[in-house]
Amino acid sequence: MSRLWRRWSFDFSEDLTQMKKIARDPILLSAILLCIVSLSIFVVFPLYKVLQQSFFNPDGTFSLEAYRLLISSEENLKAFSNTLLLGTVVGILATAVGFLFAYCYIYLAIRGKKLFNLIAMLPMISPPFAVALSIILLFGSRGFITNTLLGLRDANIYGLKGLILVQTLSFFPIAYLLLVGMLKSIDPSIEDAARDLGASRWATFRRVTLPLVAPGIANSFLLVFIKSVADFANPMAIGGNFATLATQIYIQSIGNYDVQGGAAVAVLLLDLSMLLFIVSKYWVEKKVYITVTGKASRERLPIREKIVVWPIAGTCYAISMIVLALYILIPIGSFIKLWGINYSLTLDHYRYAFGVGSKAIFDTTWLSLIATPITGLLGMVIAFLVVRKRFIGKGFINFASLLSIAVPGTVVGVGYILAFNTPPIVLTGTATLLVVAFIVRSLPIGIRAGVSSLQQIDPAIEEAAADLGASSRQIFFMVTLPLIKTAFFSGLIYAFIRSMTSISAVIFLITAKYNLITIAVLDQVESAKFGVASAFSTILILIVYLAIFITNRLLSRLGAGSKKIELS
Amino acid sequence: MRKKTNIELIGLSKEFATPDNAGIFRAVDNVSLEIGAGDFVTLLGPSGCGKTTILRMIAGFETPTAGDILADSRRINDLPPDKRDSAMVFQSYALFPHLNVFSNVAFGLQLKKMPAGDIEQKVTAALKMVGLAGLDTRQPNQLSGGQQQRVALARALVMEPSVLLFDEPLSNLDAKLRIQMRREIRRIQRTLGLTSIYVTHDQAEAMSLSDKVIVMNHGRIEQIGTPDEVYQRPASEFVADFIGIANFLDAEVIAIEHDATVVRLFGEKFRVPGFRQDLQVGEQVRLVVRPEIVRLGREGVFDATVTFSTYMGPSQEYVVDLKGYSLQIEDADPTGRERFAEGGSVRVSFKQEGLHIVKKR
Repeated sequence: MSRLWRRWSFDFSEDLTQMKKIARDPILLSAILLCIVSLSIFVVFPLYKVLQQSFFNPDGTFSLEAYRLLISSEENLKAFSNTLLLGTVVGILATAVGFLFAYCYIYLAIRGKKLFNLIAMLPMISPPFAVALSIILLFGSRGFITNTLLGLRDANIYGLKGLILVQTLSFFPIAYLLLVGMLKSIDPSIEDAARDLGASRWATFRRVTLPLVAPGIANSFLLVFIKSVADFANPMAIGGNFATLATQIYIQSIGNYDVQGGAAVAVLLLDLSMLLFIVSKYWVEKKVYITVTGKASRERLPIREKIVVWPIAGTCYAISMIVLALYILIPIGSFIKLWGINYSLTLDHYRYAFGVGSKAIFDTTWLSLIATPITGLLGMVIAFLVVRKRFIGKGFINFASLLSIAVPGTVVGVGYILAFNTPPIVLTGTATLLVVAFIVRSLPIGIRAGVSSLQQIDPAIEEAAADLGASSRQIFFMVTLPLIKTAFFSGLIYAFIRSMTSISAVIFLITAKYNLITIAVLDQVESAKFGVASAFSTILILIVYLAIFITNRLLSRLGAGSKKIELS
Repeated sequence: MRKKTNIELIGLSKEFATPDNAGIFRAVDNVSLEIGAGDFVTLLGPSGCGKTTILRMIAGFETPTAGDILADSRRINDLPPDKRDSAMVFQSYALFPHLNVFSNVAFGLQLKKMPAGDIEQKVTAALKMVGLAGLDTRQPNQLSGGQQQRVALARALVMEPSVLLFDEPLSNLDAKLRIQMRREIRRIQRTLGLTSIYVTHDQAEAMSLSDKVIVMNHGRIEQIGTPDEVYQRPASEFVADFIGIANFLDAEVIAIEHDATVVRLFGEKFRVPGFRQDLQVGEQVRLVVRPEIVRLGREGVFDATVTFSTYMGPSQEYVVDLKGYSLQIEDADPTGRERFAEGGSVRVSFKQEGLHIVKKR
């Protein structure tokens, strides 16, 4: 007991001395305050409103009415079980495919492995509907394969099977990237030792390799599950009557004007996501055996036996080709007059997109351009504070920025309506709120990039600068930021892409005044105008590519040398 | 002429949370000492003894849990590192990887808003002093370890600090380069007359560099003394053991005289030089026998058996068994003298003026 007390008072006095230090440094102090205040208002407060709304009647009395409706509503229960089913199936499939790709990449002697990284990158830089749209173009009622080639009259890809296909193809790169990292960090000499002790290749895989990456597999399942559960765009586009919690929130609060009911569903989705996220973060990640510190003692000898290589590599190549084909289909579709009926070429869809849709293109781009530098800088500042400084409130900043990773976009959307519709802060319908939503949604990636590159930099370098007379602002801008320049710029790119392609949160916030490309695509898909949808998607992809191109040019001008931005 | 500063630590303590966050670890425990202006002082001790923590508190990177740091009698506890007039040479060098050699060295001067002409002149002089003239435009990753070390030194020197702090600066260099850099550092420090505090766990470095050695263990000071004092008259068994090689033999004090202490060892009497107020007649003590004061031969006081015999070039090293004690012996310059083979028996004697007594722990 007295030990605990001593420990606690030690922590407290330590915090206090650090705070005294910070109080003498007004710039550091204001940076910390700025982060705490903005995270409180734009991350924590809306979620609090969601919780509050679900517990109170509109007249302000406490009530569990929303929850009674929630569990008595057949629709909501169905959406809940649908969500779990979809998440589980997609989690398993995407992890399996991702593992196959990762194993292929790390272990097999094959050519063209770079293709896998390209495939893994595609879902990240494309509009949220890309795969769904292509699948509809191929397998829908007027699909190229189902209708044109096979002549089927009533092919129906909408619903669970379509969703499973689309989500698996969209989310397996998450599993791939995670598992490549894990497999790469296994010291090959561990597997050599197993072989040396008499294990066959299969036995080595089953008894050594697989147990070593088991936590990674569990984690990738959870991450894909979270992603699937939070996914809004695909269920909207290809879900048909298969409602999930994410779409249910939207339908309830926007379609039925029942924000309280929507909030109750949102709480359910929030709880589910948070639970999975906590399990992933604090339980699965603790179980990782592999230490990533030391360098592998030597190169791994790739497997050349045809009996192993051919089936695995063959499957991966086939899937890669399908994914590539799906993405190529979108620009093709944008030039086809009437998909499934009239395959003649036309520019009509672009005329429409640049005519009626020009406002959406323009609004999306400039709002994203405003959000991007703020996100980038804020992300680096938060990363710097979290990695390098000790202060009261650091736990909060950590928690709030993790929170914005775990919370599904639709929950944020409902929260923003609830939080910013009434005083003290009225922002609904303004461009400001859209920009804020963009920032909050893409901030975690910027922070993560900053944190991981800061952790690779010897803190002594910053101490040396302080020792030579640099203030904390001078250290950040003269030493830290130049050193994490590459992470900073890839953070910028990610932020821009995320903003350009975001839909789930902002769909709750748009008004007639501002429109966004992703929402225009959704409208076109819902009214079965796939040509225009494809044209919008193609334009979106081109803008994103242009941004990547310009940033890379800028980076080489700034002398980052051959260090191109790696989108992985 | 540069200013010289005197540094005083009063009752300095520092506590850290243990890595598992379960407890508290006292890295520095009530340390008081004074470092005179222009002195070169070494903090010497095993890893974890608190020496680096003291250095980092003087630089301002750590805040003391208790106690004060005074520079020229002014309390500097609350000054942030950028406001302190000390410059540090880091163990990892901590060169700015995005800046070239010139810009690394010029960094601190630019922050002082010094005119560009003065900066150029000072940086060039500093680089010349550390023997790197002409390498201004190299990037840190284009330099060898020794060159990086010199840049780090130049970057600290150019600030004309009142105190120069070294955090195990040579530990990443190979043995020969280390000896060379040791001499350079000493030469430069003498030329500039800077107050210098040097942290190391390498006793050879401490002996060769310092005016004064401060031996530390478990966050406390074991002994402060000149290199001669800490080697010849170690204050404790720990110091005797940590600095050089020591054999410890159990003995009993039988008389205390004004210029020597008489002890009995295996029934024989030895006169150990020096008046020792702290000992009492009848006390059981440890006799410190350095390897080089033992003589092996056909004649001698005790019988012993040779267990190891190794030819090292400049010396012959033995381990002999002396009544159950394993004794390390170094016979310097064995050329032309009799060497004793392993398994043979010899007689052992001590050069009495080299003996020293420490209290039993």
